[in-house]
Amino acid sequence: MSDKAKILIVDDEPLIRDALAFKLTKDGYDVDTAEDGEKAIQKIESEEYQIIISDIMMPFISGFELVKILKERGTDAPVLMLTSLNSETAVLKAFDLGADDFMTKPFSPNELSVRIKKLLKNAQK
Amino acid sequence: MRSTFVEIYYFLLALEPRYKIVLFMILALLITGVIMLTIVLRERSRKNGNEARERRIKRMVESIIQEVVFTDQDSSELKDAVKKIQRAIDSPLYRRSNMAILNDLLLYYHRNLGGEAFIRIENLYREVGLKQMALESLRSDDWHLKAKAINDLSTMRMGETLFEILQYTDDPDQNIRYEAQYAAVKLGGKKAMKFLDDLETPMSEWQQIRLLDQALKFEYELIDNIGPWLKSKNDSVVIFALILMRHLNQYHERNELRKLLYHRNERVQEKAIETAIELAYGECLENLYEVFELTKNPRIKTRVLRAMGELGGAEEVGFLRETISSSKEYDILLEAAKSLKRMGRHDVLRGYQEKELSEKSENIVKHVLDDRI
Amino acid sequence: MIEYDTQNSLVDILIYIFYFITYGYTVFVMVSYLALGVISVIQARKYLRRNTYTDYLNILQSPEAPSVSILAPAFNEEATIIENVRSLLSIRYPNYEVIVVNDGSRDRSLTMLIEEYHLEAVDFAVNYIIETQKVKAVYKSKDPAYNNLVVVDKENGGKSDALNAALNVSTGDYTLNIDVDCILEEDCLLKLMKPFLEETERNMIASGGVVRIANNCRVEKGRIIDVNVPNTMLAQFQTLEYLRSFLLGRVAWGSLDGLLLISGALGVFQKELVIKSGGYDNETIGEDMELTVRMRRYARERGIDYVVGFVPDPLCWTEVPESWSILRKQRNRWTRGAIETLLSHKRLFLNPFYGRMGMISYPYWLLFEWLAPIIEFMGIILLILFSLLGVINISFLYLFIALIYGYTVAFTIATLYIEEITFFQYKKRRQLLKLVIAGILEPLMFHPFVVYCAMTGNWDYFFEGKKAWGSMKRVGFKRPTNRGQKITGGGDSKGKAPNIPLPTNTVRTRPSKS
Repeated sequence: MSDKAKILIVDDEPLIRDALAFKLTKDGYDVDTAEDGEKAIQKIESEEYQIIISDIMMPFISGFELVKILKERGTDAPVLMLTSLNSETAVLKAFDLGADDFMTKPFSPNELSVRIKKLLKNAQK
Repeated sequence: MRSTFVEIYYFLLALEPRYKIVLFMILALLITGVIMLTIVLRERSRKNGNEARERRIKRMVESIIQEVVFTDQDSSELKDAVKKIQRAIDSPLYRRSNMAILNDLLLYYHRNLGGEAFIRIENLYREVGLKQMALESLRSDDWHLKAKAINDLSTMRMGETLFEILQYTDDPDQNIRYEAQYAAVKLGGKKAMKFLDDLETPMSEWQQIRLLDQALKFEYELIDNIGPWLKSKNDSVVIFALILMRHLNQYHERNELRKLLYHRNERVQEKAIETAIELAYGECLENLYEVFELTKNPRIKTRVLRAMGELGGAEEVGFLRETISSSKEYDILLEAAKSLKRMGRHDVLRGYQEKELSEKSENIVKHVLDDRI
Repeated sequence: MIEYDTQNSLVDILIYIFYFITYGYTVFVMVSYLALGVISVIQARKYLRRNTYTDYLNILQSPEAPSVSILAPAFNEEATIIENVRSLLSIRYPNYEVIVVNDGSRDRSLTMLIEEYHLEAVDFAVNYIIETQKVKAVYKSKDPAYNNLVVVDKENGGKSDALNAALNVSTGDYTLNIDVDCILEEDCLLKLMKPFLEETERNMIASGGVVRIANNCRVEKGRIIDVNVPNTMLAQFQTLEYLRSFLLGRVAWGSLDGLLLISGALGVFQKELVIKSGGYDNETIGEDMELTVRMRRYARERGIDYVVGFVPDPLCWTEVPESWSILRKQRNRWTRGAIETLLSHKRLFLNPFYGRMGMISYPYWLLFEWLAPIIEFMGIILLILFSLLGVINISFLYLFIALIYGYTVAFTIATLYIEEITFFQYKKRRQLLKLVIAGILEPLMFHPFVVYCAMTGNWDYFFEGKKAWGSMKRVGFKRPTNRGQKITGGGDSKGKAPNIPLPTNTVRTRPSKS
């Protein structure tokens, strides 16, 4: 196993997915992507990720459900929600379900990097 | 062979006029059908070709854009990237449509990314000549090209075009006008909202939502003009001013807000109460009792009850309690009970004597006490 | 060309009327179709052009987005209910709730919902503003991920009754009424709400969207992945019919504010007005058309300056019947539904008080939707009769029929052309050719069938219906209403097996006339 932290990006928009993957690979992470909640769950079953970045509005299994399922299964990896929903209710719901961080689109890629670093640090503790 | 044709010709010539007309129409329909079909088929291959080209260009350009957006580059590297992109979209026939593809791609990134990436995309937009293209469309006569150009320029934050865009904020075409208003606020900030001072046309809710979306970026600065807008004769401006007050915490015109609680337009009344709640404007409670008595509209009544729950004290608890035991309307009962719950007065809700409430009210109280709903 | 010489006999008069009706009527139909087509193209283009710069994210992120309740009635849907609810829960809209009504299903629908979504019964005080069958329980999820899901379990009462029950528990300002087995586009609510938010002059009371055919399309996880032309000829005919009806008919009627029907498969309504005008009528077959007409009437009679909108985008996909016998039943139902609505609102007819609805839409429906098949049928009977008697000039009639045929085919091709330059759903050349062939065969194979179904519908309504009503009265039972609707030249009702009536119920079709 490499010492690089493994990140899973879940987003149904290919352009965002690719852009994120590009950026995070550049930041030195090992990046994997999934286009919806179901594929994400499959990947998480077979692979261990240190952090999961997920959109909320995705077909079939929404980001909310994904977090819920992950937390129910006791996945340790912190989950960062990255979404164009920016209402208070969405934020509350996300944290209520066990999300570890929340960012809204448009998002600053640099801010995302910092937050990921922080989440990883906290997780190691 | 020739003789058959001649025969047919004479046969047709000898026909009655109505036969001729119908025959001619059938022939015309056949020909139109065939023509349309060929157009459809040609259009189809053109479209399929376009889609393939779009995919190809996106694939080529995407990685270059990512490189620009996510890495620190000096000016020569940027120039390189621009050259590469221009090579990718260069084509004698399809340059314009390729530019449009690139345009949409950049807009898409811009909508989703912020911070430094934002600025890099804007630079790229200028450098590859898309800004120039938008300015050309802005001067075209087609309303949709104009509207799209305004939208693009504002999305890409081309501040230097603000002056040119401003002249369209009262354009007779609603589509152009709306885009220009939006662009003005986006590029010019709160000062550009001055157009509301003497806006006479009604502003749609859609437009209000968009302008609010921009205004939310002002980050709670004071908006001085809210006062005059609240007094506007244009009800949509009044409503929008209330929305701004509410979401941007503009406390300074509270007295005007109090007057609006009695506004002739019930939509304005509704918004005014909601705003009072959001601003925690407790002083208007005495007015709200009056409004509650005066209005027949259940929507306004329920909002007053909600305001009591959010802003009220012991006196309102009494009023709400009384409302629950005396009222018969479902919505009123429900909102009154919810308000008591909002105030944390579960004790009042549980404390009704047996038979004090009708079965309906009792059920509603139970409903409200159920936290799962 | 008069080939015989008689005095003014009865036959002469008949022939004269016959000529007048066939020629006059057909020409009128052709011209009106053409006009509708032109209006639609203009509208669809305008819509698409505006969409080139519309950012739906604005409303998706707005705290001011109006609240919407999605009303989804379900009756014996255990096979698909979990998936369907799941896709409803992942629709893109910031402020909505999903209300699923289990209308006394006799399968495991409810149990499955309870298990999948961790539901539990809550102390919900149902407000019976509109009278419905008894609500047995209201369920909410224990899980915050599904906190916008409400499941209502009630005694069976039919689709209208289920929709009314959903209205009673809903909290939104608007309702999106759907058939639970339809496949919705992700953005459908955003697109449907936009016209409500854009209207400034008048009060928009309802808005519909385009329904397309899902047969043979590839569906994955409740989303259309790949659009395809259906395999069977019958479904292809219906594809053309739907295209004509939605792309041309309704878009045009929508822009003329003349829509008399917001399809039960997809429509957004202003809730307050639905409730004020009395909700769905569960005594009628075509409850969606009936509601639309009643809401319009209500608004007009209360002096509300209203408008009914229409979004030209394909937003909803549905399966149509691939069997002639099921289709026959469906069309029969649509006919009866339309007749019923038209008759129960007959005061609209040419009544200037109701504006365009009374002066244009209603007469149009009467003449072209209800009476057209009857006129056509009569025409053919007379044609055969006259030609057997040898009293008319047959050769010209044949020619005229050829003209009608040519026009129909050309019109179908025109529809495909419009689809091509607007929404472009059928992307493969093969698909297009299939549709063109279907278009050439349709007037010969499908159209006579449609006329036949409409005739039996009329027959059943006026002659058989009486009996059903009589027995109905004695039993005094509510039947599970069939989901029927009929639209300009086409349809959008469900194609699956019709609701099986409860043993004690007989089909009941209309208000008492006996």
